[in-house]
Amino acid sequence: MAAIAGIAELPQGRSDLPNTMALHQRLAQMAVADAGLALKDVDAILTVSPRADPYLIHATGVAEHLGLQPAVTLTVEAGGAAPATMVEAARGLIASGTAHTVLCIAADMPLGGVTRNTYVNTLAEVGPVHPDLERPYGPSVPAMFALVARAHMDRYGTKPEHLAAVAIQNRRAAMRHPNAHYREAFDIAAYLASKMIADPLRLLDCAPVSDGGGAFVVTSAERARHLRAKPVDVLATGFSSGHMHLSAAASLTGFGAGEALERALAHAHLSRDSLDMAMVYDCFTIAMLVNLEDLGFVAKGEAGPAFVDGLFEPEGISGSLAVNTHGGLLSHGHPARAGGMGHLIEAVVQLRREADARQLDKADIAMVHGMGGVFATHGVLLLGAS
Amino acid sequence: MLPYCTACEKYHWPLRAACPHCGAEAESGAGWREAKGGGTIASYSVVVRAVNPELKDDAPYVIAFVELDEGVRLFTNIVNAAPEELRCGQRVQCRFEPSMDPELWVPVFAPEKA
Repeated sequence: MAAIAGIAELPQGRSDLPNTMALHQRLAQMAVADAGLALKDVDAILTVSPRADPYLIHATGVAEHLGLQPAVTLTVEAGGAAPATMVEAARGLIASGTAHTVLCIAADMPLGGVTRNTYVNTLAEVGPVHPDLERPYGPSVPAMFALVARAHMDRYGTKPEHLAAVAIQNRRAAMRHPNAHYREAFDIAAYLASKMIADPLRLLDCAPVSDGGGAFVVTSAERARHLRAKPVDVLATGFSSGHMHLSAAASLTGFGAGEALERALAHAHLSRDSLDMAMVYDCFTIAMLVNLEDLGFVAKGEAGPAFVDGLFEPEGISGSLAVNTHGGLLSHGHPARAGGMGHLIEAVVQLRREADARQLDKADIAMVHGMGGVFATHGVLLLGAS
Repeated sequence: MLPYCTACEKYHWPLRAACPHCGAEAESGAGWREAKGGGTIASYSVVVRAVNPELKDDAPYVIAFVELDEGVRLFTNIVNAAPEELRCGQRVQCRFEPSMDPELWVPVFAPEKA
């Protein structure tokens, strides 16, 4: 079995570092130090090419920047499923004996690294939209999620108040996280007053644009027990891939997150009841509701009312499941191509019982869900405190 | 016109070298067939904040998925309709209009006349 032996995260928001390579370097140093290792111990580097500063064979560039010649450099492309994909690749490298200490970094600087207009245009160009057949109609990333929100409202009666409950709970969680990008409280009136972006999604339904991301070190579980930090075991992974373009999806209201979780649970011989927390990909409020339903934590159409009832609160009522205790992409921050690293880091922090004001009483098994594209590809990790 | 496979008698979109339903290649099955142009709105969004600079002056505009009667889903615009009168399941009919590139005319949809 593989384990996560070290983690690193900087405050999300506007970085004062000069560029994305400097951010990768800082995170690399922090993650290996957290594990009680040195950079020279690293024999594999996995990264995601940042949107603010794209590179060919980016991981190889990071290795050069760090002054390392590792056996393996691998640049991963899986959208918001990249953190889970990196863990899967890392444990494969360790199991095969190809590498022993795998440093995984996903970080981006859409605020500090490029001008806003350049960034938004890049986003429009590379969104999960067909360049010839769909781009002429003027899609935006929020608009693609708005199509799912409208279809979900039409089919299940989901209301703006349900979306607001997601946004407000995430913000409350972020207020307890020193690295979170947005930490000012807001209420439902402020939510309803926030400007419409792509009806029915308002500004506060959309994750912010943040500089940030994180890093982690994977090694064998056995070796991790002799290192500095409390190790977190990789119990199982699961993946699914449904469509690339939303127009090709079988349904507009349900997607593949549940298949990924089922595969992970089967590998680990666990059930949903054994999970103490769920980190769910929430680039938009509607993504949280749809993914929670698809993951099978609540019946289709019932995630909105359940959220209003506090069923996914960190200090919830009996039978509740703590969701996104760090504030999610919506408030902890959305560092472009590094989206979802915050979910993984938070699960590790909770399992290590280092979450301070956010610490859950019971924190033995965590689920981390990541999603690439518009509900297109899903990766699920089951992590356990050792 | 829509891509149509004579091997399995189904429409598909977009055009591919082989039918995504049955795998028949263009020589043996896949081709084009006339579509009637009618369909229903599967979902829609009024885009208030356009991302593409060339569409800033057009906002707000309506993007939508239309399920054609032939069984394929198109990403498109809804035109000639007040946004507040739109709903999922509404009948729409195809027409062609110039896109951001004036040389390129694209299929868009307008509500069917009652």
